[in-house]
Parts: sequence; C-alpha cells; structure tokens
Amino acid sequence: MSDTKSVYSIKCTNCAAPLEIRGGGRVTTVTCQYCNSVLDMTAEYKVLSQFHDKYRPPVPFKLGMVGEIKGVEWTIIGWVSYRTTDFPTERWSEFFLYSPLYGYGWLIYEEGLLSFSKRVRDFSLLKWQKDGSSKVQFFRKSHYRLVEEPYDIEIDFVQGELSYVAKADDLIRCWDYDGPSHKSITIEKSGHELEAYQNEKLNRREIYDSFGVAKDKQVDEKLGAVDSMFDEETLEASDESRRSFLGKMAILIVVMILAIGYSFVSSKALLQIDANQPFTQSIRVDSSAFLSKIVIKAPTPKILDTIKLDIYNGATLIFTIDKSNLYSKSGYIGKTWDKGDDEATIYMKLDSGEYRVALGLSSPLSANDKVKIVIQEKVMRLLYLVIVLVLLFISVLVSYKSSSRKESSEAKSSGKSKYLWWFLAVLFGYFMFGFGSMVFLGAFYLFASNIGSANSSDSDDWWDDDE
Amino acid sequence: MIGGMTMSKIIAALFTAMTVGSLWMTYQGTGLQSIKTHSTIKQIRSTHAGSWGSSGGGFSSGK
Repeated sequence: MSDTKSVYSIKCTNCAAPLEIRGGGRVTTVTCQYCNSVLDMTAEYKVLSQFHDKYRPPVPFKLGMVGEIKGVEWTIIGWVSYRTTDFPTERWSEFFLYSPLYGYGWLIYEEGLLSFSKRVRDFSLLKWQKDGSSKVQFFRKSHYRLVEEPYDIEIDFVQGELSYVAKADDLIRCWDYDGPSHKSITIEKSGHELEAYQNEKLNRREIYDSFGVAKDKQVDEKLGAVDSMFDEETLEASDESRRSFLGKMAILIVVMILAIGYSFVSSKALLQIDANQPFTQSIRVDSSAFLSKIVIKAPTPKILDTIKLDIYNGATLIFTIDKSNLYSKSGYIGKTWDKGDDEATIYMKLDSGEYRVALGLSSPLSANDKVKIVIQEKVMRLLYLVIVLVLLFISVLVSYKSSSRKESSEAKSSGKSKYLWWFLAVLFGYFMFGFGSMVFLGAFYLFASNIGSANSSDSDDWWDDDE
Repeated sequence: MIGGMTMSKIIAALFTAMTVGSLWMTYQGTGLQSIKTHSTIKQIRSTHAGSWGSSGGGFSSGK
C-alpha cells in the first residue's frame, strides 16, 4: 500500500529535527514540523522563512498518510492552510499529494468537505485573461460558471514538502467556477503567476477509510442552516439519489415488461369464420379495455373487393368497410384497402356490449374461395409501451454508464460501447416503428447525453496533466 | 441551482408519468385505431425486385 521506496531523511538545518522527504523531483521546499522553518531543497536546505506562532488547524490528515483517490495511490507530502482576507476565520487546508506515476495533486479539506484538485494545463488562461475573466468558461466539453466575485486568500500555515516557496501571508487571488457533477475550476493568481486547477468533490467516507483516518477523527461536513438550504448536495446524497433513480427506473421497466407480457395473453377471440357466402353473426364484447382487432383475409384481391363488412350495435351502424369506404363511429381509422390488397387488419375501439356482424358479398364466391373473418377483443397495441420501455432502458444505461465511469478511471473504452448501444437502439426503433422513430431517438439522444455528460464529461483525461 | 438529486427526481417523475400515460393510452386505445393492409402480390413483387437474381448471379432489377 505505502510507497516508501523514495523516502529519505534529512536533518533540519535550523533545529536538527529529523525530516522525511517523500516527494519527487519537483519538490523545492520542506517545512520543518518542529520549528516551522522553510528549507530550500535546491540550496542545501537554507532557511528561507519561518511560520512561527501560526495557527495550526485541527485536521484528520497528517503527512505520510497514503490513500487512494479515483483509483490512484497518493502520499500526503505537504500541508498548506489558507484563510480568506475578508473573513480570516474562514480556513481550509490543502494537502500536497505525490504519486510516482501521476505526479502531484491536492487533497482539499474544509470542515469535513473533501475535494481533489489538480493543475490543468489545457485550460486556456490566455483566453481567460483576454475575456476579462468572464463569468462562464467552457472547459473539456462542460460549462463552468463563476460562483462569486474573485476573493483573496493568504497562506496561514505550512508543513512538509511543496513544489514552491510558500511564505507567510503570501497573497493569492482566486476565481471559482462551478461545473457539472461536483466539479469546479479555480484560477489562482499569485504575483505574476497564473494557474488553473480543476477540483472534484470526493466521497469523504471512502477517502477517510482509504487514508486510514481513525473513526473518531473523521469529521462530517458542517453546514449552517443557511448553507444547508443553499449548498449543493453531498456526494453521498448524490450516490443515494442515483441508486434511488435506478431503483425507480427498474420498477417502471418491470411494470412495462409485465404489461407487454400481458399483451400476449390478453386477447380473446370473438369470431372466426371462413365464409364463401354472406352471413350475420352476433358477438359479445366483454371488456372495453384496449382495442378490438378485425382481420379480413381473401384468397385474391379481386375477392377482397367484393366484400362489405358491417358491425351494428342494436340498429346503429358503428363500422363498415368495403373497397371504397371505411367508416367507424369510434373515430377516424384510416383509408380502406387499396386495389391489389388481399388482407386488411383493423384495430378499433369497441366498448363492451352486444354487436351484430354482417358480411356482404357483391358477387357470389365459388365453393373453394373462402374469406376469413376474425374478430378479437382486448388486443393490446404496444406502440407506446415499447417506445417508453426503450427510453427507460436508454436512461438507465446512460445513468449506469456515467456512474460506473465516475467510479472507475479505467473505463476509457466505454465511449465506443456507448455508440454501439445507441446504434442498436436506433436500429431497433427503425425496425419497430420506421424512420420517424430514428428522428425521435436522435432527439432523445441529445437529451440523454446531456444528462450523461454532466456526470462523465472529462473523467477520461482527468489524470493526464502533471503538476 | 438545480442539483443532481433534483434533476434525477425530475427525470424519474417524467418517466413515471410517461409510463402511466402510455399504459392509460394503451388501455383506452387512444391514437391506436388504425388499418393495416397487405398485398401478397405486391409483397412478392417487391421481394423479387432489386434482389440478387438466381439466373447467372448479379443484381437483378426485377424487370
């Protein structure tokens, strides 16, 4: 677990206390834990400055702790405590992290709130300056909005190794931009130096456990009543809401699958006749649920054109169809069959009750020429159900994919599989409902991918930059 | 600001409404009345037209 290969000890040139050096080649200063002297590691540990009588905030982390953040093992090698100049009691700590493979990062701790921060070099600071530090920034496919006016902070306390020379009361100006999925960007200006950092909130329980913080030292997030009202949800709440969301979606999917399954057994035959002469037959529709299905099938188109089928409710004609006319009292169904057709299937609403079905033929049929008339009730058409089921599946998939990508930094191939799923969904939609559904699915893709991108827009290249 | 929790609740509520709505419309048959016709001859013609021909291989226009 711990990386002790590159650890070596020195003696403080001011107080002779033993100091352990754990960081890599970019570490330039180390601050003695005992006398608070800042030693220059590039000039024979010369004392650069001292942090005497500085407030040492209580924190659950200490130098040398090793833990995992987003799948990468980090060692805490330095600690800087900051305070704002406007509200000096507002303090937080930033722990300088080192990984032999991934370089440097920061673990930010503020009263139980934990974030991971890493310097990003692909944020265009030049453009940011030219835009006059505009309120909205676009970075790695996501928008970030300026949270508040820029504020000044100063260094309060330093311990351990750093990659720069920290001086007491060093003034730094900060701009905070909030982005999607608990991510933010901080622009820091110190003297002539300008740097951009991307931050991401962390699950504190996971981090505490990973770094081996004792249970009695694990601090939960402290929020005042006003903060609680306006602060964003915690990551734990986010995970919980994701689980709750997936649970609800699963229930809806089960409901839809049960409904679709029921459609296979719901229908009931009311009439099935192979006729070659006119007839009148009574039928009873037991339920008003769903639709009734009428199938008229003739051996040839010419024979179909001789057919006239009427349905009466009492003395009222409620449905009639022949080669030139289609009428239904329950509303518009469509146009009758075309010349050349030999089969017609009609879906129509028949409320429960007694009906009389009458088949008429404009010319007599031979004994071998029989027309088939089939009427069924409680026939479910699955148009809406299948569309909603497909959308449910896509939503669950997007949510699941984005959450698994969030949890694992090894999901670099999921971008390709996403397109495979969408391709299959569009293909399925096309075969089920034709070209129109492709347009619909395309529009839904844009909607769903926005949900997804809020969770996963740039997790793939999160580790790419070095300090 | 609408947080992730609120957003997921909105989406879940939207899908619940869509599920209930689609079940209700299916039950009522709303917008589902239709006629579908079929022509065996046209089907045979369209299957034959533009298919890979059996005489000598290659693409057959069906003429």
